[in-house]
Amino acid sequence: MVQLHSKDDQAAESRQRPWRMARETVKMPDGRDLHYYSFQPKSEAAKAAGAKPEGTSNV
Amino acid sequence: MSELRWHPMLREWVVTATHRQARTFLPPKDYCPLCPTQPGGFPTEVERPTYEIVTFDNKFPSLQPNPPDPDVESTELWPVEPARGVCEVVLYTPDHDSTLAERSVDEIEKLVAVWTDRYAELGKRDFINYVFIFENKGAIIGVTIPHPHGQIYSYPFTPPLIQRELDSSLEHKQRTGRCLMCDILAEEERDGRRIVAQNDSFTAVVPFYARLPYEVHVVPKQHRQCLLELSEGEARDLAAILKVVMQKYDNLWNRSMPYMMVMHQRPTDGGDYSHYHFHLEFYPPYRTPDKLKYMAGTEFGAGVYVNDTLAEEKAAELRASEPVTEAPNG
Repeated sequence: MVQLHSKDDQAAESRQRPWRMARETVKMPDGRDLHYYSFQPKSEAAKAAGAKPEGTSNV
Repeated sequence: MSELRWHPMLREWVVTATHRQARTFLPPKDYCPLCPTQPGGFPTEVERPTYEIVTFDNKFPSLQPNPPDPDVESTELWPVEPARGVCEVVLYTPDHDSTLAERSVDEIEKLVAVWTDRYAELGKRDFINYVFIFENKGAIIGVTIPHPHGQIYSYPFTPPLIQRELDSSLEHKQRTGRCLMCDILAEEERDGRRIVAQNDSFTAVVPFYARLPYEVHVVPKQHRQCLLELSEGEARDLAAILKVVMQKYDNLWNRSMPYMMVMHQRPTDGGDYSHYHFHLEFYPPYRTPDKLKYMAGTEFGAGVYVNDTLAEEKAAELRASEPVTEAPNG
């Protein structure tokens, strides 16, 4: 039997994801929009925040 | 040729999109347009050699932000509108031979975050009134490219099935002061026989009124109208229960189960939909390992589903499928 409820005492409301998501939008050759989503650990995301490529946003 | 044609008898829009006849159909694996582009390889939709999750405008969209003018004249009897909207493809993974069920909970949690972002981004557009996130899985469903992916159709109107749910939810709220889906969920939990799996934030159930044998609805325990209202913990729980449901499907007959997975959220037209309760629905097409449940005369022609099975029995089968779960009331 699998335990589907969280085993720790931390309620779902207060759990936080350990990564930060970034979206980079580029134009495809025919003009359509394409969005690359990437996920960085929060500590690394903070360091990279000052040097992100153009078109990238933290979301 | 692309336009919205009004069906005056059913009072709903039909999308005419003849250019989609030319779309890619079951390409060989080496020429999958949804794989990353490999150095020296043919250019796919994704020019980079790898990716985590990608979304992009569908090459063969049913709806477009700048659609052509309709080719036919609009009349009082049958209004015609440009097929305005957005159709996006969501690539879950660069792994061509995978399925969503095989991805980790961590990866599915990231996909939930992407769905949430697309819902917000697309819903902001003034010509979009409804963002519909879904996945068609399996050739039997009509999937034309097997690479694991989903789709997002952003409509300029609220689709008719959603509108019926909105109307039912509003009528129930006005009559009882309560949310309809909250009441349904409470009754399912009290009974317990149709529940397939639960975690802290979500319940998966073959609903009392299931139209298909293995139809499963995944419902947040708290009243939430859309993905944007989920806490990070709830989003994680959504990923976890989706993984469990899809694993159960795949383990039921020891093969990858085809399905349609759809997400019903509140419209994005700025209206008050506080009476509506977000949820996902899975529609696998099989009634036995080798028999399909067809949309036939009564279903397609009259809108009356005939389910040859009992929801209580199918839920028990799914609970017994790995990962095994138990009904809340034993």
